[in-house]
Amino acid sequence: MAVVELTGVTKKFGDVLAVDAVNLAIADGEFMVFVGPSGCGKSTTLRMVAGLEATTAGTIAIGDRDVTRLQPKDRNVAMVFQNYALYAHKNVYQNLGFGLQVRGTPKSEIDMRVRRAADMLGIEDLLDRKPKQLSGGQKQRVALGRALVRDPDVFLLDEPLSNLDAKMRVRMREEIAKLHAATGSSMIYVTHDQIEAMTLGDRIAVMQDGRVQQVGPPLELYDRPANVFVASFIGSPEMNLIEGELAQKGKAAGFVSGELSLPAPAKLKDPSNGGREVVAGVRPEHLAVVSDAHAGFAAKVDLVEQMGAQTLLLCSSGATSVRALVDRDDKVAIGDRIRLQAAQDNVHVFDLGNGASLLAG
Amino acid sequence: MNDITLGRRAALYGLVCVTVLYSFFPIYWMLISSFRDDRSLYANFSLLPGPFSLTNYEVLLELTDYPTWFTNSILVAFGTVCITLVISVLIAYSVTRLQFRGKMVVVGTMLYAYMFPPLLLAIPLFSLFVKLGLADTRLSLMISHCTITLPLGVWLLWGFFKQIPMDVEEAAMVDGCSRLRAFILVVLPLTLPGVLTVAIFSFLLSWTDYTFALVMIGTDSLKTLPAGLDTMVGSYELRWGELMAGSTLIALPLLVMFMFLSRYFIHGLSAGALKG
Ligand SMILES: Nc1ncnc2c1ncn2[C@@H]1O[C@H](COP(=O)(O)OP(=O)(O)OP(=O)(O)O)[C@@H](O)[C@H]1O
Ligand SMILES: [Mg+2]
Repeated sequence: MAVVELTGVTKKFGDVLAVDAVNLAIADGEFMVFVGPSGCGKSTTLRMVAGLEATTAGTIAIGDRDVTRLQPKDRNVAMVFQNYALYAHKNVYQNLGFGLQVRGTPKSEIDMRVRRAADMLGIEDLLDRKPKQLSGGQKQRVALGRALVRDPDVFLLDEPLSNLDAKMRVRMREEIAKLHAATGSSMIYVTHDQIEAMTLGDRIAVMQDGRVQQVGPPLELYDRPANVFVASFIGSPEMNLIEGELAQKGKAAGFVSGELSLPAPAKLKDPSNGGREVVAGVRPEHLAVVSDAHAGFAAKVDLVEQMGAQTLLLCSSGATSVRALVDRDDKVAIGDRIRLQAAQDNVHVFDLGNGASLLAG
Repeated sequence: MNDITLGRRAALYGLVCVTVLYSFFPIYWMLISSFRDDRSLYANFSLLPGPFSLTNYEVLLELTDYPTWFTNSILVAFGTVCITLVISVLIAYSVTRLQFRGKMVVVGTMLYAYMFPPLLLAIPLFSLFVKLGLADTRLSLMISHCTITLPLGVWLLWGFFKQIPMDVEEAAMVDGCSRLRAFILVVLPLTLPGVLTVAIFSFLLSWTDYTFALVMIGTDSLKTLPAGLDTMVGSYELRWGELMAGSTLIALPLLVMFMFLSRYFIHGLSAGALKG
């Protein structure tokens, strides 16, 4: 059962096409993440679900109601804003209870729900404080609590963690995940941080230029990116993307670009396509240093970044630069000549023109 | 080091004292004169208060139209405050929140109107009121006062509404409020210092206005305090004692208002449009 269903949802600001015919269904209890670069239309899409922005075209349904023309107050959604948006003149208790109070909930019930939410978020001691007496993390908890007490059909969160410092961000991320598990509510979460997207989402919708590029579970996006954009956006460090051509059938290397060669993946849609110009992609963590002088391709180490458990090598093979993320290696030094190899199944191939993946399924 | 700061402090305090003395002496003089009887007003007076007498107040309240003028002043001032608040809140809010053509022209024009000296506005306004059949009414005086209070109100509140982030209002709407309800329950309380500042400004202006009152109102029983007191000057003799008592009573509501609201007033001045 889809709790939220977007059909052909489009938004224009004057001539700017901010959201372009988005079709998406969010299931009951699902944690859906919208991710994409700045300005791709994530917030606008979320705000259209909330009713804060009118749609230019398309319909939005929540549960079995068409809410496209309804006011925000009639949609039974709750929203958490990037800048917390707490009511500065009310204390924490009143902030939490406000949504219930305007709906005419009895006082005793408000009290019970506010205390339960405060308990879940560990903010019982802050109930008498005003928002300006709270730290950023505490403010965000209150903002979450304000959504939580309402028992909405769907939670909408727009970059709720981006104002927090790195440590607090990780902590709150875990708490949001726990909250989702505990309440089992549907959530739509907007972020531009792909790590947040990967760790939180049941499914991720990657957006670019107002369009959804691909929707799927995090690991599916990681393993089978539908196009060059998704491939480069998901995963860190970024996937190496190399322009070159597919070799003729029968050759050992499936893909060549100057001195660089990679095996062609077995799932290639049309393997007979020898000579076709394509973009090949391989993730840094899927490149390994090999000692066999005939395996893989030769590369020169340009830069070494020690990251603790792993070592990131910036290498060049001819004019192409590639990054390899390998197990910790204390000996490798700038200027070393090494050989890098990727397993056949870890190589992606994309169309040079439109960037679409050329792998089957 | 310590000496310098001490010296500076002393100089600063000295300066403050001089300023306070300078501004408050007339008020002090008005107050003590109002409580003297005629004889001690003109002969062998001293800077210290006394001898104490209430005759001035008795004469003022029993033998002149003062109570009527006081009522008129109250009516006009409250009317001005209400009109100003309702209209300037509506304009300032729509200018900050809605997109429409020429909204900056609206604000610009209003500020321009604010720069006119009252007398320049009063005469054409009066002829307008005559045409409309409103001449010589309290309503015409309220409308005249609004020509000054409205631009100021819009300008001040505009600064306040700009400071309230859009998302607080949106949060209230998602929480279950209509736009109007979000405005009343969330935006207005947050801009209360601004609203009070505008209310005080309008009240002050209307309460102390002399120019418009002189031009707009001819009938004695419709006059406000400043214009009414003026009729006491020179009609047969200068009655200083009653004038001082009348002025003291004009100042009284202002004093009370300031005691209760100065906190908001100062906050409003420093937080609103005047700051940035
Ligand atoms: N009120 C508006 N008026 C005009 N254009 C707008 C408005 N709101 C958003 N846009 C435009 O719509 C596009 C999408 O904006 P949106 O805020 O949805 O991006 P986003 O994906 O949330 O980006 P970010 O990660 O920076 O928050 C952008 O090009 C933006 O400039
Ligand atoms: Mg955004």
